[in-house]
Amino acid sequence: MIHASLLKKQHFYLGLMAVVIFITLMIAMTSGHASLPLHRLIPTLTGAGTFQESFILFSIRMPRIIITLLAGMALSLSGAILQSVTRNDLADPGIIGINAGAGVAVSIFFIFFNIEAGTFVYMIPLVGFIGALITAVLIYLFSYKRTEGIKPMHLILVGVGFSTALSGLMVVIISSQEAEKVDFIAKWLAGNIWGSDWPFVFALLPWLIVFIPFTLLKANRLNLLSMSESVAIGVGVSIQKERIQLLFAAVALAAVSVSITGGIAFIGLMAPHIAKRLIGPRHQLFLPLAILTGGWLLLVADTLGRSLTNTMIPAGIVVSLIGAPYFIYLLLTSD
Amino acid sequence: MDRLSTADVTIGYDDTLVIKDLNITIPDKKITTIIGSNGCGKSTLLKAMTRILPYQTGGIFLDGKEITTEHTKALAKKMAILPQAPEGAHGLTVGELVSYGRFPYQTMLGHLSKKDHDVINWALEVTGTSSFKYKAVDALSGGQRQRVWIAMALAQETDIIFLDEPTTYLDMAHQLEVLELLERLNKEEGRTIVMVLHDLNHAARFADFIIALKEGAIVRAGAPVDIMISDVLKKVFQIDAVIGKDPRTNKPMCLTYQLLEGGTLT
Repeated sequence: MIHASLLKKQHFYLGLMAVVIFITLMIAMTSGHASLPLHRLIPTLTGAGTFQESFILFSIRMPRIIITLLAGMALSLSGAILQSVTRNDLADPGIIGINAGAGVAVSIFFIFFNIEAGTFVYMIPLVGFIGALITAVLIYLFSYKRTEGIKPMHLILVGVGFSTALSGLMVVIISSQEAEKVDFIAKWLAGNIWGSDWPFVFALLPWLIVFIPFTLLKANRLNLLSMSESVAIGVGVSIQKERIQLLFAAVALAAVSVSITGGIAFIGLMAPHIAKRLIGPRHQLFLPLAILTGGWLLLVADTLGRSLTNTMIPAGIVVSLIGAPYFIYLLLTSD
Repeated sequence: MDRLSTADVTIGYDDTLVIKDLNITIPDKKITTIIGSNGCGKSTLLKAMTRILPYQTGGIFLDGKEITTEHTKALAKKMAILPQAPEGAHGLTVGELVSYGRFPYQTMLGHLSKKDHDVINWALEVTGTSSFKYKAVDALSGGQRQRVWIAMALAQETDIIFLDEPTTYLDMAHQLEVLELLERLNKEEGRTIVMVLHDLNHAARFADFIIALKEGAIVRAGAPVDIMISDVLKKVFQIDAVIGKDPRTNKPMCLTYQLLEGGTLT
């Protein structure tokens, strides 16, 4: 029933975004402290680079770029799901407490278990993931009512409450520790892409491979869930079941990316919104575009953060610099 | 055989009961209208019968099966709902919105079959909205939009259609347009229509069966001539009504009314 001209428009935007991402990838691979000029990129990619060039590209930049891209995609998809399920355009994994949940878990783990760099590093995504999942379950339980199931509005309010409380808890934890020890946590909180190694790519990728098709298959249900509840029930959507499944997907996607990239907010808010602006509210059309846009936004933020100044600005901060004004703009223009 | 009935059903929100031990059978292939003053539980009853609101005790049965035990998608092939002031069509075209009514018949991939397209076109035609098919729902007038929502309910191809105040926000001509459309669907296609209406004279004119509710209980249920009696209206609405006859349709109608002593406060 979707008009052919609209499909064409979507293909155009998808193509455009793919080109933009490609160009950004080129820039990202050639910018940073160590020099790897553009004309050396192709030779290095095809294996004809010097040892130093190959090392910079394959061991430092490439995993980081891919992680950034994937995490941005996951956060965007997570935000898009949350917005539709809660029927609120301002929902974002960061705003409803999932980031904070991961943050608290990582902080506690970091402080109460002695750090042994090697193995510890690979535990962090897992710990963050568990923290986010526990938070999500708590938010769910607190916003659940026996007679009505979960109400989207409750979910958001409880989530915002949890987010604030957990951030407070994290401040308490951090301030009770010595400064050097919490340096890592502070960086993590700021959204510094720290897990920039190949294993993290493989930790992130499976989630996207599972949940992108899963969500796209649910596109019609998401269309209906974002309408009024009685309309969705009326045509036979099992709203409680669908909400739980989709919320799980959203939490998993956000948790796994945040635990690798650190606390990054706003991507889940901005990317779906931009995609909806461009192509309209149908999930089968805007989700793919939102996924690409999210990946691109985080890639841009990280590239800017590590090439603009001599000190590295965490991607989370760059995203917030763009995201906060955008959030205010959204607030002012939403009806 | 009547298909839909309630047995001692009790419905409420949280701890407040709105409807208590209500028993009613909806006549098949007829137009049933639920009337009553604000807060009497008419929308609540409609929502419970359409499984939008769970009920506490008792049961609501469709074809001998309790509706809570049936899969919601299977129910969507038997009953369609037009909620009060439905929303969410923002940014969609008329054809797309109506196509959502085919959800209960679709597979996981959501592909529309030839049959689906035929039914969508039929629903648009019956409701006189074919010419808007590719227009945005947002761009339509209130009356047109209401007919599109009805088309979406029709696309579900159900024998029973529920409507919660389908004439709200419409001017007189458009109210009649919607009601006549429903009447046609009932007479020509044998669909069972159950709706909440505010306008007594509309209820008397279009309904075969009226359920008059007060404080969550049935004051009386029956044909318009049994309901449009000043005694009943006194109880239901606290009004003193003069009942006459519509010279064109011969249906009973309320000619004029005034508040009883004490008014709506009692």
